[in-house]
Amino acid sequence: MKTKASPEVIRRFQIGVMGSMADLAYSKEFEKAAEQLGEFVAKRNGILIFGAEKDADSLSTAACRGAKRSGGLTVGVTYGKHKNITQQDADVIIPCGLERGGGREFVLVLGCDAIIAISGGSGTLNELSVAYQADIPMIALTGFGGWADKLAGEFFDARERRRVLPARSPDEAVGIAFREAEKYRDKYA
Amino acid sequence: MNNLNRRLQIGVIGSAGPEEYAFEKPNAQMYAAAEAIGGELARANCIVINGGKGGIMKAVCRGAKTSGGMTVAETSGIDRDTANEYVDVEVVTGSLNMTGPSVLVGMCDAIISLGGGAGTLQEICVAYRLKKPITLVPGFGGWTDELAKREYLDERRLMPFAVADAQKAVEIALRLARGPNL
Repeated sequence: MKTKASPEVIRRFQIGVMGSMADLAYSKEFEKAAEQLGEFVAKRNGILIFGAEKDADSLSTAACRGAKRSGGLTVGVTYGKHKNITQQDADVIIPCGLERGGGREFVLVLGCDAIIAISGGSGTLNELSVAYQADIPMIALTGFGGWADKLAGEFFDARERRRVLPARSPDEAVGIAFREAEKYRDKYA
Repeated sequence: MNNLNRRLQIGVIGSAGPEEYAFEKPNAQMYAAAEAIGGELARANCIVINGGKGGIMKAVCRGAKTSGGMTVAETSGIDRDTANEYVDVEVVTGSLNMTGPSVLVGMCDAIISLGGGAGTLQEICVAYRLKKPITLVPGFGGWTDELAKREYLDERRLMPFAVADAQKAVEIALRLARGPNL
């Protein structure tokens, strides 16, 4: 039987930050914005979910650094079977036993109550397409190019399930993420 | 272990069809194109790989079977007999719609795409990262048409999209699947 979660036990929101990997050669300004996203998630008592890499930095990992700096709890979902990620101060490391570029991405996304995308190549696009299919709220921090800018305000297909919500600052993006995460949690409680 | 004489496994992906959602325009032309592509793949002795459900998936399987081909479907869920009636081999993955694409794409030597929503886009993202050749057949809307306007999926420029009409799509996909050295 489907029951509503007890109101006394409200779980913390799990907010994902996703974006370009370092091989897409983003500037320090991008990294700073990603760190700020992580900081704001931590300050609102959210759990920061990020895609943990083993061979490169990324905007997702930058968000983990921001969250750690603000005393937040961070969870890195990585590919393969070992925990040898670059961001060794992450609180929880989950090797999902799947490869990067498909499998790891859906585990990462399904762990989130909302995801915030910044810039981003094919991996971020993949993650957004999974979030859309799973009806998970998506926020695009605009002004940094990539697929996040291109998809801000858009639906993914004619199903018109959920729009990618645009945000102009990290603060605004995190605010929208928590608002939408709450609605999402209630919808699937 | 490298069996160079093995049959090519070509994935055909795209819109799932009216049982899930409807495009604004009638889909008859898109299905006819998918059926023709399935037939041509069969005559070229290729194995057709797809999701085994409705829409493009059913059309391409019907085309392949009508021409004596072989069809393999990677299906979501845990049950047998969820694939359409033109599927020879049903690979039941135990996955959800959104967690199956990496299995489907991994089985393919090349991909042909028509129409398509978020699931098709996800498959194309996976194929791009795995550098599986992608042939887009535009003209039927969806992500196939949107991506046909671009050369690459991202700035990594890993692999350019091929763009072809339905008549040329199989020829191009097979050439790309065989690679420059074969």
